[in-house]
Amino acid sequence: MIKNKAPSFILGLFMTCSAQLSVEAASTQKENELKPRNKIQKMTKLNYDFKINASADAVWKIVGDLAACDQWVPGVTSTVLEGNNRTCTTVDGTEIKEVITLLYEEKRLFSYKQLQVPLPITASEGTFQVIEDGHQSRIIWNVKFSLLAPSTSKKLVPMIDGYYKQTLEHLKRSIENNNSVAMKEYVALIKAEGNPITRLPQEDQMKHIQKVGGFIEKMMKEGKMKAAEPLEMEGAVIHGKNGSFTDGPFVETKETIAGYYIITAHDLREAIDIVKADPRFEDATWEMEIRPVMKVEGIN
Amino acid sequence: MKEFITLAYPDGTHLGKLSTKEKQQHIDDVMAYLEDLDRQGKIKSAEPLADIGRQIIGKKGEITDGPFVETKETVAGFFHILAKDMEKAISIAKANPMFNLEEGGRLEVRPMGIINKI
Repeated sequence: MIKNKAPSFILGLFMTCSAQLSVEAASTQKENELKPRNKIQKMTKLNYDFKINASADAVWKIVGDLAACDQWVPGVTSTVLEGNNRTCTTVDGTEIKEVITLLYEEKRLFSYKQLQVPLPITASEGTFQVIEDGHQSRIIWNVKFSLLAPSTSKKLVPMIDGYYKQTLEHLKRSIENNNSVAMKEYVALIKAEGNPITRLPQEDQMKHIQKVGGFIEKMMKEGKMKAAEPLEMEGAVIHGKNGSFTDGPFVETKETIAGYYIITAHDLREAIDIVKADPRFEDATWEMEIRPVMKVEGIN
Repeated sequence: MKEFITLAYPDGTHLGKLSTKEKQQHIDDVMAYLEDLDRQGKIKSAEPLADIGRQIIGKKGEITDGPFVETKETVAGFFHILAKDMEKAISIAKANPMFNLEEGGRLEVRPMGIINKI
């Protein structure tokens, strides 16, 4: 879960601008009272298409949790969700009240209307969607609102735009950092008696190699595997202690290491599930030893 | 340059008989060894492994898993090295500080296959 809060400067900027603009808007509004007001107000629209280097599911897990926007929206310290009504409270105690008008889990999409915002705007609403883009994801966020006082447009729109961009950047950083911190490396040592592939009928050997090759490629694309190295059934063995050696040829045994994978996973369980999906088990007997890689300062 | 993996099988207690000071000295020696190889572009990675894990055995699509048990044949880690030929790979392996220890150990030097890289 993301606990990082926004850098205080974003918040400071947001709060100062909003206070200043509220005053301006209030005075402009008074002047406007003398004139007939336009029924149809011009909407300001802001559209974002923002790439995040994480799966759509991983991003949705955070933004789709409507009661958890305090964990990624800069400046928001608490969120209360009652039915479709959401109240977010900011650092200075200001409340932002919203209604969730649509939640479509399958499409990773939700829409909202803002009922109360600490800004001189009205009819503020938006749709937030997370879509898959290869192994990454994109956030499509469309917002629209009307300015209470058109004269504030030059200052207010860039400020809101800047704040929304910061919000997306903040989300991106939190998710991407979180992902890399949470992932661990595991080595799967692939053991067998000699090289079982050579014992398969000729025509099955190529099929087996292609099948396993496809699995490796898929795992690498999904970021679940960092390396896959087959080892030749030859080599040397060096035995030594106190600086003296004996060395000889490498001999195949019942437990010969035929290669290894370096797996990236959240925990040992996930690493085991990745290894179990290896189609090599369909054709021959293999033994895999899955061991966490130790992080040693100065060594890896 | 060819790629080799050297798998480390320490003998005995694997640093268990060393004092804290000796252990630190050994780690420093390993670091210096790796830094030296890195400067010469002779190492791609070093992966020390934890003494825990899980064993998965499978054949004909039937897979079982059980606890990993440390044995005499436990791999403590491996080094991915680059060398001109097996001879050079062996001399790089022989410079490994694990061989200066009283308990010593065994290094298996194996050329990397190319079979799966299609």
